[in-house]
Amino acid sequence: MKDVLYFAPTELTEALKLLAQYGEKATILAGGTDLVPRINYYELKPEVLVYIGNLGLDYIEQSDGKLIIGAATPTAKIAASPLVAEKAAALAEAARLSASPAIRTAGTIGGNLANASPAADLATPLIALGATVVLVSAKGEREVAVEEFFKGPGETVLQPGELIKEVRVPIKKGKSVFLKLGRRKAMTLSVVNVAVYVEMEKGQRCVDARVALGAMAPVPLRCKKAEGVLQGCVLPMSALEGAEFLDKARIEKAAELAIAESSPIDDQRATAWYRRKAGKVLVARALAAAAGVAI
Amino acid sequence: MKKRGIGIAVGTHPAGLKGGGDPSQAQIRLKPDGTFDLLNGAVDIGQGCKTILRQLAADELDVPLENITHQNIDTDTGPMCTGTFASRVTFMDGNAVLAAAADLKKKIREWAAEYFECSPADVEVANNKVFVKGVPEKSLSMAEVGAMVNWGGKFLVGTGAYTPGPGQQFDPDTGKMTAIASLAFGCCVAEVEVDTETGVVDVLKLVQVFEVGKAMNRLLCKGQNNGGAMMGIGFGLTENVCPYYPTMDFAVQDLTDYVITTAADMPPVMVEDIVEVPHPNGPRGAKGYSEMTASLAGPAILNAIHNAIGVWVTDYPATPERILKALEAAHA
Repeated sequence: MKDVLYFAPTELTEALKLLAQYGEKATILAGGTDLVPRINYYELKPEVLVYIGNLGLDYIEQSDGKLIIGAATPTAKIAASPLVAEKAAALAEAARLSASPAIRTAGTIGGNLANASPAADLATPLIALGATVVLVSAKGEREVAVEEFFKGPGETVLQPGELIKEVRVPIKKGKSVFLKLGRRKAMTLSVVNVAVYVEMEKGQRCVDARVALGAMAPVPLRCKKAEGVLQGCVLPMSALEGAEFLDKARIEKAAELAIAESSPIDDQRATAWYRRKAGKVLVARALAAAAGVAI
Repeated sequence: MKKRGIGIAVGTHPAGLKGGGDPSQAQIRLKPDGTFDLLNGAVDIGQGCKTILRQLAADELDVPLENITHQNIDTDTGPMCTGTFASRVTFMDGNAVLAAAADLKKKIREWAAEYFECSPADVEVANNKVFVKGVPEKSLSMAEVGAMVNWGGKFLVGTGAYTPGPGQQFDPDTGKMTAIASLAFGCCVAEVEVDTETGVVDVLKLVQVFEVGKAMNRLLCKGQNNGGAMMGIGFGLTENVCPYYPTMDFAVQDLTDYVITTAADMPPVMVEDIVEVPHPNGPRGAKGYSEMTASLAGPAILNAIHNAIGVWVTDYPATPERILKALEAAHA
């Protein structure tokens, strides 16, 4: 293997200068849990590695009605954070269910997003919660919605010279739920995962609903049609006026629409047939749990 | 909907090759400090044979366990052994070790008879000592014997071998053959909960009991039983080399996609036990049985799935996908 130039800057400006200097030749290294195996298997031969673990991007804070999570924050820290558990339950659950203790300790939230796996566990809760990523380069900063961050398997809107600085999760009143099906109970990639966010006015009328599906399309997918049929619906016993009842049938309708929006494939983990079947069940269960509807 | 069911599987397992022709050899030598080297060819792959073969040698020689050093690192120089497979090591190598220890004991008696000027029949090897029966002043510690033998220009080595019989032929018409060695028996009961919408199976409880002849080491049996259960659950639910057989699509290339179970997949309740009926030809009554600990959980789980949902899944492993397909076929 040819020599690799390795940098471990301690200042963000220094890191951005290096990324600007080496452009497309530069590969960003954080926890290394996705990158290093690819290097070891000769799938990737980086010329320049820029390690971002010393830039002070390991933090979880609350500011301006948002949860701010540094890009180099390990998944284990997110899983263990009482703040994340309280303000973004689906994200905490996804972090807890992802990979293994060793991978969670090394792997970071920024890496999980930048790796752009369609099955990335942290992507769907962030989409359901309406989170954004802050991307920085030597030229400046921009903020992109997580649902618009992914372009395809392994592809994102990140430009050469740019890195993810942090993830911002709006703190909202509603309830978020994350459900995952793997091939075993731990240390498993998602066969399908689902994250939903539902906000109920006075606990009775749905004023906001967001649904995201993982491992069901080339990118973690927001399902707007499914969300649409839930907006404004009221619980059957409610005194509030609503467009339709938010009941078992409505939730199943939403689940059906979510699956209709998806485009799963056959792979070693499951067939598209199974993903549609199980995905629909998971969407319905997650929505029912978030909305407080028995199904 | 979640449905619960209970399934049972029973099995038998032979020690070594059923048709015989499956020998093992062992060697034990007395060292200058009165301790012993035990050499054999079977490799310890985690099942604990380094412990139980030393136990058998120590028992036969009547010396402390820690005085036996076990050596099985080299197939070039080690005594012959067909290998660690088919639950054969306890039975075959165990018998070979007992024979080698008995042979060494005989040689120590002959040496001591010359030293004590008596008949070998009057010499006793016991309690880490060598002495003349009924004559307390004619007694040497094993350390003294080791020093005198080795510094005196002698080398005492016991050898032993065991085979349950020569190779047997099948009757080509009936498939009948003489079963050699031993058969162990086992039973597994599994309780599962099946999610009929996702096909996901949770094993709630697993009970395994094995008839082992005589347990050489109860703790090792326990480890074997629980470890085997873990493999058996993988066999029943997750381990799949060709997920879409008979096509080779997505055939597994490495352990990344070969789904072995984790601690999180173990049932909340696991019970294991043994039954002991000493085998007449086994070393101290022991049989080999270990491989069977991984064989029974799979069929017990598939039977429990049938009991839960009323539909058979007959391909291993019973993946969520196969369960949903079986349910759909039944209700079509």
